[in-house]
Amino acid sequence: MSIGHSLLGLLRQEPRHGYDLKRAYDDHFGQGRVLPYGQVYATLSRLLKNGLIEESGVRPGNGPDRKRYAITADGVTDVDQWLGRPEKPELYLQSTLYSKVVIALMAGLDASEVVDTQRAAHLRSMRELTARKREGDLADKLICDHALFHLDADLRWLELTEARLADLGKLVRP
Amino acid sequence: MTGALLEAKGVVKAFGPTAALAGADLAIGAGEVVAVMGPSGSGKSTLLHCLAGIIAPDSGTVTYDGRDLGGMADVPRSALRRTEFGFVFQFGQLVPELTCVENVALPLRLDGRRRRKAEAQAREWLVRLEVEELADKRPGEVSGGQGQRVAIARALVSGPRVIFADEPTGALDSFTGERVMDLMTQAVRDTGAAVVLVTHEARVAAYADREVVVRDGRTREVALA
Amino acid sequence: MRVGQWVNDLAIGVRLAIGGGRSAMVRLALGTIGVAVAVVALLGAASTTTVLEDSQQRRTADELVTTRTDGQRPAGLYGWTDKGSFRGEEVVVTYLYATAAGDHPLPPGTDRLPGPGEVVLSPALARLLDSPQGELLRPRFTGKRVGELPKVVLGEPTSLKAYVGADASLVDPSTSAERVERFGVAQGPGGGGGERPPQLMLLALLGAVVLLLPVFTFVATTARIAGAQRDRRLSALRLVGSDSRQVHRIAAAESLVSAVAGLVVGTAAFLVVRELIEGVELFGTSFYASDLTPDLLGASLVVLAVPAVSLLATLAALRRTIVEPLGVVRQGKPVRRRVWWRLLLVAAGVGLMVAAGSMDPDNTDSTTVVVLGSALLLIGVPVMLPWLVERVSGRIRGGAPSWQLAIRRLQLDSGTSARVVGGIAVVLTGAIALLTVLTVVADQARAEAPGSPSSTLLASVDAKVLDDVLARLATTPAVGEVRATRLVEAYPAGSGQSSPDSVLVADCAVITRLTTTRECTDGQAFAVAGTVLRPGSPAEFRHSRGDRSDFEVVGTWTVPDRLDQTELAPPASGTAAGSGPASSSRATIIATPGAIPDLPADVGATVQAQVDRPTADQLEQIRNAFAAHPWQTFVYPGGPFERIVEQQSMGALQDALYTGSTVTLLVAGLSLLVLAFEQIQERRKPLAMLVASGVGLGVLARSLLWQVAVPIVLGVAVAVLTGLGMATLVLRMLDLPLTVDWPSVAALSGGAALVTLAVTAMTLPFLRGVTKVTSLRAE
Repeated sequence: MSIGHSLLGLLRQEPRHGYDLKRAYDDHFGQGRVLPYGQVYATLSRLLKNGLIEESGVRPGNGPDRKRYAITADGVTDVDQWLGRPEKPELYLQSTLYSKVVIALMAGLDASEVVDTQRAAHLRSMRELTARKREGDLADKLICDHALFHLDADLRWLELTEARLADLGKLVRP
Repeated sequence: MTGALLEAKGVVKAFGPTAALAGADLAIGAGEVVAVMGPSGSGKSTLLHCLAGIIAPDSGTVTYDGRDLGGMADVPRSALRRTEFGFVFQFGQLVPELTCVENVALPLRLDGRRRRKAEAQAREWLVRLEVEELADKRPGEVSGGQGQRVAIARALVSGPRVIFADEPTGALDSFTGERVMDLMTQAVRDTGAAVVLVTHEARVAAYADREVVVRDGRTREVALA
Repeated sequence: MRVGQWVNDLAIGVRLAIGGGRSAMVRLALGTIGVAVAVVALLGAASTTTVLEDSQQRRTADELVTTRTDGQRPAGLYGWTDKGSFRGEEVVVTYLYATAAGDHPLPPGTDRLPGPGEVVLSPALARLLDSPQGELLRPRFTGKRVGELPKVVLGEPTSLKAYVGADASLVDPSTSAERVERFGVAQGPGGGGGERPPQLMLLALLGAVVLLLPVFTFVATTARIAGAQRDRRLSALRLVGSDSRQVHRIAAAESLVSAVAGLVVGTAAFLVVRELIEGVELFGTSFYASDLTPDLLGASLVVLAVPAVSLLATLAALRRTIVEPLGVVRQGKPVRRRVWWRLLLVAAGVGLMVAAGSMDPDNTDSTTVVVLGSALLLIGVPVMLPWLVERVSGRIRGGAPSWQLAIRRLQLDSGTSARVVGGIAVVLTGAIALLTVLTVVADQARAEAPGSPSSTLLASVDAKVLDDVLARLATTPAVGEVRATRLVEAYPAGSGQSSPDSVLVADCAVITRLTTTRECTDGQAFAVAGTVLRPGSPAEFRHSRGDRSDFEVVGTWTVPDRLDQTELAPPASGTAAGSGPASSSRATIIATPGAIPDLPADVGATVQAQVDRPTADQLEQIRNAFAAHPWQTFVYPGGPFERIVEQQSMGALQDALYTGSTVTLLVAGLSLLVLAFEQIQERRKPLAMLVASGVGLGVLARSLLWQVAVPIVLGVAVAVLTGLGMATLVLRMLDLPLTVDWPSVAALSGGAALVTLAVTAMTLPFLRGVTKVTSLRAE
């Protein structure tokens, strides 16, 4: 679960003020927990330092929220690479995968590519597990079954999420 | 991929105003098991039907062993289905009037083989799929999993080079489905037939050597590093 | 290899038809029964010529072949056949008397003749005489029964026929009996009654088309039983690699199985039915089992046509659908039925009939045009009906659930039921049209008959029994005034070739009514204008042997000295006095019996009797008054018996119509039944599902009823309208007004409705069996 890539992804859609950024993050990925300001600004400054974002304007007045951030070309590359890279097929990946799908949709990218890439990675693992089952004893079979079903569940959830969010995409990206 | 046994290039197929396939490509080598995945209505079954020469594409080509299926007349195309191809569908493929062994022998008999010979061969396949005790029952009297095994026996009886399987476990529970997939992949490995396996289930697709995703009528293959 | 492949394909088709589990067996059984019923009907139709020829042959097998003998009668067998009637049924009685024992001819199938006072009866006549209905017939057959007539002389099992042993009086020269040379066909060989006129053949052909159309429709419907199941089966075959020609062969073999099975079962059933039907009277007709033998041509046509129709129907069904490996593409489905060519057909029919109306009705061409026009109209009925059913059912919305289920089903596929109902409608149309025309024509004939309902009976009576007959008539109810007259030619004695006077002999009571004379005593004679004989001159009575110059004098008479002049009274209207064999208008001398004492015995009397509104029973009593002297009296078939004769010929037509319509209606009903069974069978699962989810059986039963009833109601409506329309057009040609025999129309329509109800009722047990929740599990 990468807050950095998520924020970067949100900025890939459009330049935002820090407060808007936090609000958008909370709305899409917060799952009831809000992201502390401190963490937002710490992450933003790391991204600034790495040249992935830049300040794109200052609002008149005081306060920390005057700065507007925009993504740089390097930043776009970084996000797209992240999106195109499958997560290691492990259990309980959902929040990362979810973030990827949302970010891709918000960025106007094809979220199904995220799903397809991930499916390929999952399937490779599943193929190995299936092959192992063929040779293995009962214990092996049971363990492999467990893993297979969970990977299967992940993939199904991902596919469902993609389908749902494709509808939602109009909301996320008016 | 050159030297493919079965290859679809730029296949377009529309049913009325809705396009089922909008330029699908797929190449399958001899003995290769390929899973065709995708959400409902994506056109994966249509792709299978085009590959098997059951329906003719509006444009694009399907070649089998160097022969263009699109330009083939009904008779040779039917003969191809009878001798070179085998089919396993979700259900409804067995003729309810015929006993299981007669169903399995059907492709041979349609090809002009004598009844006795055809049924002897059919029985061997029922044995290989461990359903020999069903030989003289009718499809209506056997369970779903048993029926699929009979269907697999029928698909393989004529020694085909390509098996087309459309959701072969779609109506089965996990355990039964797994048995059916195990038996089918085993049998296919033994005979060296290629398989086009249409499924929306990852656990079924995991029996394949690789997968192709159909989305909005187009195929997509993901090559991982 | 090709042949082997064909054999293989056909074997697969046969295998699919037989031994395919319960539902396949039901399917095969329905198909077989369907074809079998059609085969029975068709074999029956193919037997028509045998029936007609054989019964005609038997009917005429014992006709008397006689030689005319004048004057002295040589020894031998004498006989006379009387074709009378009893309550409208023909009763044929042959009176026989042999003057000496020895060699005389015998009727076919008999070894001896009834002696005097003995009778030989047909079985049906014997039964009738023994039953209470035969009470009024008994006086005519008082003799001792000495045997039964054999089949070889009976047209039908129900023929009323008898040989009666007469006494010596049969040989009297005054009777109509003649010397019998042999028994056999009297007029020439063949006995077929000559060539039929071409229009009649055309009409018969049209009738056959009307009656057989539903039968073939039925065979075609049967071939389409479980069409959806068959299509699924065939597409499964396509998937495993049969090409479309193979699929056609397989389907053909499959349909041939039930066709051939039906042919075998139907032939067997026909053999059983014809044994059962022997002696059963249906609308005045009955058959011997042996009569129901199809001629070779007809039988071979049935054997070839039934499988052919079945095959063609199957292939036609396949032509409208393309069986693909993935299922069936119905081409015809979205295409709406077109109406223009159907209307064109009907319009052409109406046009031809209107055109015929302006032609000369006696012209052969106009008859041909009428027949063509009505054929087009009749074919128009089953052609219009599918379109109409589709249109009407397409318009209906809403209603109770049962109604909705039925209508939606019809909207999905109205063709099959419309085809079956079309068969019923054709029969109904033809029957209504013919019946209406017949009724009007019959009414017209009755209205034109003068003097009805009272009329004059005319009979010839031997002088020897005249008094007895008159005495009997006097006590017979419904008989009014009776006149007995005798007419004889009196020639001037020894005059050679001079012309005679016609002498009418009657008593004074009759004379005062026949002439202007009011005063009369026995012994008087009167002269009417043109008298040849002079008063007091000798006269003689002669028997001519051929021409006028070759005669024998059989009696003499002296003309009374006084001949008063008189004039014949104008004949009162409503009497037959002005015509007939003993016309008083020819008389030139009128004499009382006392004035002409030596009248030859063979001068018969003519009896005229006024009959006033006789009931059917009274008519028989009148006949019985003469029946005591059967060969010495002859009752002319006109007068009060006119209606019977007319009714007999009218009735024969109506009987044929009713017989044909009933049989066809039954066949159509059976096809409806098969169709209903098949629809239940095919929709077993959804039906069971509906019942399982709490839909009452009553709702389903009602929906089945509506499903059959809606097309039937439309069919009956079309049939009544078209039938009456046809009748109107035909009657217009004959310049007759249209009067509709509503009870008959209602009876025919009611019959169709009854068939619907019966069919639905018969499917109910099947529906109950099918909708048991357990059938959800099957397959």
